[in-house]
Amino acid sequence: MNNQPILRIQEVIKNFGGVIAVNGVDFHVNEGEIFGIIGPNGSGKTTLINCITGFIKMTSGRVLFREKDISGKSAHKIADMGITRTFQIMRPYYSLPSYKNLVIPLFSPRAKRTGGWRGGGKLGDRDTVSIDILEEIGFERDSFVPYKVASTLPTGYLKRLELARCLALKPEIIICDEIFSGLSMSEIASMVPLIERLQMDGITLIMIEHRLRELFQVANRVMVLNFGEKVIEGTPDQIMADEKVKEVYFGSEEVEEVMSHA
Amino acid sequence: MYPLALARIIEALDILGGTDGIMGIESFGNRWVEQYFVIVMVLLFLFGARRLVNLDIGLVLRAVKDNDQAVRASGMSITFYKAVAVFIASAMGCMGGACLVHIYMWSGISLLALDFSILPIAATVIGGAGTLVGPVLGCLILVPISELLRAFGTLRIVFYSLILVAFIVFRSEGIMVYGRRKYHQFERWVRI
Repeated sequence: MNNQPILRIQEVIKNFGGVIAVNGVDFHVNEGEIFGIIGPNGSGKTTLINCITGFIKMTSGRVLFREKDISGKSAHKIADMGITRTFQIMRPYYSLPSYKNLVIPLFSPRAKRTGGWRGGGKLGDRDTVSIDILEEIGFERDSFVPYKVASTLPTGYLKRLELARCLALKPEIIICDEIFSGLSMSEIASMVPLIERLQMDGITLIMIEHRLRELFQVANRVMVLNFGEKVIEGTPDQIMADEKVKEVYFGSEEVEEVMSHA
Repeated sequence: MYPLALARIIEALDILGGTDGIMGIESFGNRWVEQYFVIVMVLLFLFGARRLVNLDIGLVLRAVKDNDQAVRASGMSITFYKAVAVFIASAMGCMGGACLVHIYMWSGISLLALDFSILPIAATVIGGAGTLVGPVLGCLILVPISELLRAFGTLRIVFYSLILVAFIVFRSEGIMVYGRRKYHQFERWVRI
């Protein structure tokens, strides 16, 4: 992990009519690190991600990816540059089998360009490539799971499919929007090593999470948002020790529970 | 929308034969050719489309229908693929129109009447949107009905609309989708 900032977010403001969802958030993400974003419900975490990835237009502010201004570009262009995201509410192609789900990102210009899943820089048969990716992400190759229609898959697999969709693009940054939520403890336990391996592969991860214990386990730095404003940014230890964070999470036992375990 | 606008434009600018239309277009020559050429083209388009939706680009088109936001997140422009879909569909429509003009040996404003706009929509609703055979099936049902109702003249549109409304209310999924679902149910049918 080097300390070059790969993504710089400067004074991003987003207001929906009179409601200010994100109010001048300012942070940077270093290359190869896992950056956590936490905060109570409605604190603007997902809105911030939508602004960064171009799914909604920000009112003002700048996003710099490798010192290049990407604010105001459309979502597919930003994904094409290597900033991919998962969705909080999973968005698979429900009518397609899960391995065919991955053919779509593999068909994108970025995947064609970066390619090289099977040596030689040229993409092989997209079906076999997608099954390789699915195996990497935890779908058992010889079982029937990769061939099942996505609408029949349970939440755990759909979350992995979201991640696989990002991986198929050979991304530089993956933004995970609540990848742990809705999963059982054992599913999370198998997901954590996956996240760690992605980091080892050199992918920068930004994680929005409500499962603080698991996040603090993997994250290098964490930012706390409240009412669209940055409360504090620091290492997980600093966050847990901070008084303001306790205030933000006032009444919720989650932080105290984490703190008692830490 | 476009047929209405085009009819007025032709009327106003007196292009493409004006209100008289273009006359003296050659026919197919032989009624067997006329019949079978159309049938072969329908089958060709049907199986061609069937192959297309299982190709990689076809999967992308299906994905745009299923979940456009995820396609954007995959780094592809949905506008481009929607345009591709419109081009493919209108190419088929052009083929149909060309055949029609050669069969009528005439082309003009009355071909832009409401019938030809309602019929494809009604056929799709009856047959089942999102299936390939559905619209063909819808046409095979609707066109004979419209021929039977020829005596009523332009009142046919009313009957079309009634059928359309009935299907939207009672079988909004269309015959093909309904049939496929029922088939899967009957397949596992056990008589007790």
